[in-house]
Amino acid sequence: MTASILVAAHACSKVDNYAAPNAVFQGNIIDSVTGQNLLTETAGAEIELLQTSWVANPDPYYIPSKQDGSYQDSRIFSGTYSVIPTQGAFWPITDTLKTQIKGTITQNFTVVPYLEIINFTDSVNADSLVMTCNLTCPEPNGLPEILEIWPFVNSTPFVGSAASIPNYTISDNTNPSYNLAAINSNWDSTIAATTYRLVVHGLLPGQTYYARLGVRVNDSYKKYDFSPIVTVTTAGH
Amino acid sequence: MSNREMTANGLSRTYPSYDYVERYGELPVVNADGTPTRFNNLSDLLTLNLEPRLLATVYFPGMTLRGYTFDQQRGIYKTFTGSAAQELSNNLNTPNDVNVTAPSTDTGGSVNLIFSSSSNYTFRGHNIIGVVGFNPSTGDDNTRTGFYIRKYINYNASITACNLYQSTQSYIDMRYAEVLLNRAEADYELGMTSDALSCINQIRDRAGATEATGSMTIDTIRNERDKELAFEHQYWWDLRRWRIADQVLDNRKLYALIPYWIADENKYIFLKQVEPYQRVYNFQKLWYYEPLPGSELAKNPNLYPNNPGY
Repeated sequence: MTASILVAAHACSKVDNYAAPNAVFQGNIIDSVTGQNLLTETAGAEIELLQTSWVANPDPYYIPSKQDGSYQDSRIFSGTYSVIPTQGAFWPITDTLKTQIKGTITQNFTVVPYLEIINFTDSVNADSLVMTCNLTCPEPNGLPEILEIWPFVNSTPFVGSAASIPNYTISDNTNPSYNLAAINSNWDSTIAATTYRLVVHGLLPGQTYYARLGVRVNDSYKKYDFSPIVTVTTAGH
Repeated sequence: MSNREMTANGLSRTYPSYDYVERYGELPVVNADGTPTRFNNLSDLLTLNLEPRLLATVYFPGMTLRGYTFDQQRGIYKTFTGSAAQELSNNLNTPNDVNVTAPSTDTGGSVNLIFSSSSNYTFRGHNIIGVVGFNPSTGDDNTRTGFYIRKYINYNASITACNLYQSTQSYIDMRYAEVLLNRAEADYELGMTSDALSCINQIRDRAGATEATGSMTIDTIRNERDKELAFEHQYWWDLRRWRIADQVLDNRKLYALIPYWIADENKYIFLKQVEPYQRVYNFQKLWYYEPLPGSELAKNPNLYPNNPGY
């Protein structure tokens, strides 16, 4: 213990005069189908940066997406970077962007989602929330197997796969309360023609909830393409 | 390791899940009409003619060790009507609702389901929770699945000989059963099913289990391996080797089998519930490969690019 304090004290005696990173890198991840920001969640996608001006083989640095499909990091070292959006529910991008980051740089990226949730509806019936949707597929060729549509419900506006009330998303298919829409199939005309209906039971009376659906495919990352977020209120006692 | 009372002070914090127990088949804890089966005694699961290997791997409620009984019980229902499935939407079994109430009187207040943070509290002369669990105030120190690990336990050792850092119980590194299971798996993958069957049945014969028939699948062999080699540091590496970790550990929660006493019937029921901490287990595909160590990459840049995702 004493030794570690001494070492720490010694280490601090040398002044770190290297300038703190102060460049800003920000922008939006755009859904190629809607032209709007990708419907995602916190860390539902990542912007991968490689600072090639630092070393030849830099370790990747990731900026996680925000729920609104934007990203921002205001502590970036100025330099030359290779940048690519990755680890999201969209087709892999092979064209790496080479860019100088200095001052404040705003850079949007356009991605092709694996799937789009359309015709999204929601209705509350007593203690149940019913959500329906259809799926469309911008690029069916080679689409990985579609796994399931998931319902997510939270008591705050931050709702997604990593922020939801667990008892409203029952993903164990041996559980009688299972409430995902399992697809487990490659894209076909049947899926395109199906209206999926998901029901969440057991909402408390007189509460406001935030809810959405997410669909994922069996790619490397198994992230979700989301519906918009809806606000629902259950009747009081 | 088992419970603190039985070992002077050592404890495990690792417990067999009900998912593991179900590898031997579901226990008949729910009637055909969906209501929970009533049992006269906590130990009645032991009368179900369970496989000897299961009973040698897992401590069930009602078993004894060094003079103590495994008396795990999560609470008391004053009365219980309806089906197990209906009840589970009321009894969500989260750490939050565990802490709702800890009655110290025999009335239990107005609630129907009574919990407690101490095994000293009683309701109508009956302990609300067991000494070995489920106790919300002791965290993982007591079972969170309804079971304890029996494998490795030397029941002849005295309690004082099992104090922390005192046990001389050997660790299982390898044994002949693994050789047979390795061979059965390789056999099956190569289409030599009769030899695979023979290997599996040598295992089952030793275990006191029902012999397998010719209609095996690869899952029969994998399940046999998971049953036989449980708690012998194999399963994690098997999941990776079989490339099913990302499917098995996909927002996975583990189940518990939780005993309750019904006061007005003087009966026990067992509810299959997600374990109280509701821990979620995930495995990302990129984890099948480790990153190349940074020190090696620094020595030899030709090793780049690193494995995907790192």
